[in-house]
Amino acid sequence: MSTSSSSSKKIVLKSADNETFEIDEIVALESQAIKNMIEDECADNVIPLGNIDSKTLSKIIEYCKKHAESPKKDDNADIDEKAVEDLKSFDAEFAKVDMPLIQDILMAANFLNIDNLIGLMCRTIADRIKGKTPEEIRKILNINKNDLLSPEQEAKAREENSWAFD
Amino acid sequence: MSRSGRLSWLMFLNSKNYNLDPQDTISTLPEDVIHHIISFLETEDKEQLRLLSRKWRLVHSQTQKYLCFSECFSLDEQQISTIIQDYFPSAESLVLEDCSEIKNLKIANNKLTHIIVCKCEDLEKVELSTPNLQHLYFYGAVRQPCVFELIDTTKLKKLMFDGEYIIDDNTFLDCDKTFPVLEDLTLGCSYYMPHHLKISSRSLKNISLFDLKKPVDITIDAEALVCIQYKDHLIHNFSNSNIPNVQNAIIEFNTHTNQEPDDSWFQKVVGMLQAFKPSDTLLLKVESDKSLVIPEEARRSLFPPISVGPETLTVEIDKATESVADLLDFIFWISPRAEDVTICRESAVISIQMKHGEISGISQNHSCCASFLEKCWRHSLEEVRLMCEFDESKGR
Repeated sequence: MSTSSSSSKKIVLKSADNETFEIDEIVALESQAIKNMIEDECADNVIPLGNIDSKTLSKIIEYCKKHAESPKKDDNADIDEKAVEDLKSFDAEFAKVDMPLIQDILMAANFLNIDNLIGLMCRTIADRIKGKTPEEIRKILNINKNDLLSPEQEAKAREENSWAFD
Repeated sequence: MSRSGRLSWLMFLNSKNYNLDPQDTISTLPEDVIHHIISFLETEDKEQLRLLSRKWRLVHSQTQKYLCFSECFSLDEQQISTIIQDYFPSAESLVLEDCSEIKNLKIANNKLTHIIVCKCEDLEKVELSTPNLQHLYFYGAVRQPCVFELIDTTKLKKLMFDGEYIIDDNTFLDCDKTFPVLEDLTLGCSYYMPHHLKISSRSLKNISLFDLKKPVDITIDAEALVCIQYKDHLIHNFSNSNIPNVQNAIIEFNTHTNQEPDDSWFQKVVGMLQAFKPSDTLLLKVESDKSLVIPEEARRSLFPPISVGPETLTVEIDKATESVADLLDFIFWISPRAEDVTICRESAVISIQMKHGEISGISQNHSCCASFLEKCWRHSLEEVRLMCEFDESKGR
């Protein structure tokens, strides 16, 4: 098994705004979608990601790098607790970005199929809308104003659950 | 109200074809990702999501556990089935309230555990094929008696029928087969009761019967029964009941104002007390003690109903005509070995605690005890504690 990063295979990702990112294959493999492409040998040296901009992509690469470096649970039976803590605090820091970027990352993570990152972004969104009113949530998530419920629909929706079972 | 009901639901049903705004990134996410976000939320926060937009309401409805149709005048049977199946696949609880115009309700669903149908006054038939149903409540006035066809009731724990409904002689005859885990049964308010209501079950723990609109012969065979409640204007014939483990019995009855209790009434009172005598505690609630206290002359021809009866007896009376002494005399006639007696009589609460000694040996000395063994409470009494409380606010 090759451990030296210099001798490992490189993958180049190209963002929608034509910026290229050269990363170790091991980092790219965090993405199930890229992994499948490589395994199916349909990946050229450069993988174009036409729906992900460079800002989002660089964040995703940052995430994948960190997670690729960290020891995986199935690699090592007694994982270093410190490493787990370290990864946790990395995730917490990583999620401290504005909502549009979180949503972009989530879209991209969903496209690239990076399970952990999807989970992290979903939890982050959930945390930010906790305890908020519908109006506040609409603002936070930038929900389409044209698709709002009419007042009567909203009343109806409220009514649907306006009771409780013993 | 009718209009808005139609409008809202039709719009909701058609809202699958919404137009997405590309700026609204989050709403363009696949539904499984949105569900992933929702999964991190507490129930109250989840509720807010339904109010965000049509898209979110639709997504939310897929995970919604409770579903309530209230005053949906325009919904027909077909739409309700469609809505439950297609839009609320996770719904476990369903309430239909004030939904007139539904005549036949037919639901086939494996998820539903609770169904409440109330005040749907045009309902004629309910057909449920819901193998996981645990609670079924039906109540509220209907124009015609409602017929129930329950296909699979093997998981039903609580059943309440109150309103006009049709059950036949055999509905509860063999509950072990038809309702093997039924614990609570409430039956009330129906002219369409069979003349003889037979309930036989090994699982039943609570039975409530109230306001049956005609005299019914009631036979209960339920060895696990813990609590029985009975409230009515009429007094029914309890015969051959077997409820050996009952702990709480609550009897509440009021004669119709124009009906004077007569011998046959008292005979039924005794029959009922006889049936409920295994209970540890007995609560008797009457509007007037006239309908409860059997006059002494009538008592002579009736065997005391309870030889070893409830240890705790409570009698609540709104309108007292008898003296406390007569009332006590009657109570001890009912249950000579009672240890804890409470009488709530208008504004006074009188409680008596008694300790009884052995009864053997005393019967020879007193003719009253010799003739009716255990009937007399006086001669075995060892200790009495009497307490009186007056509620000043109600006056004397």
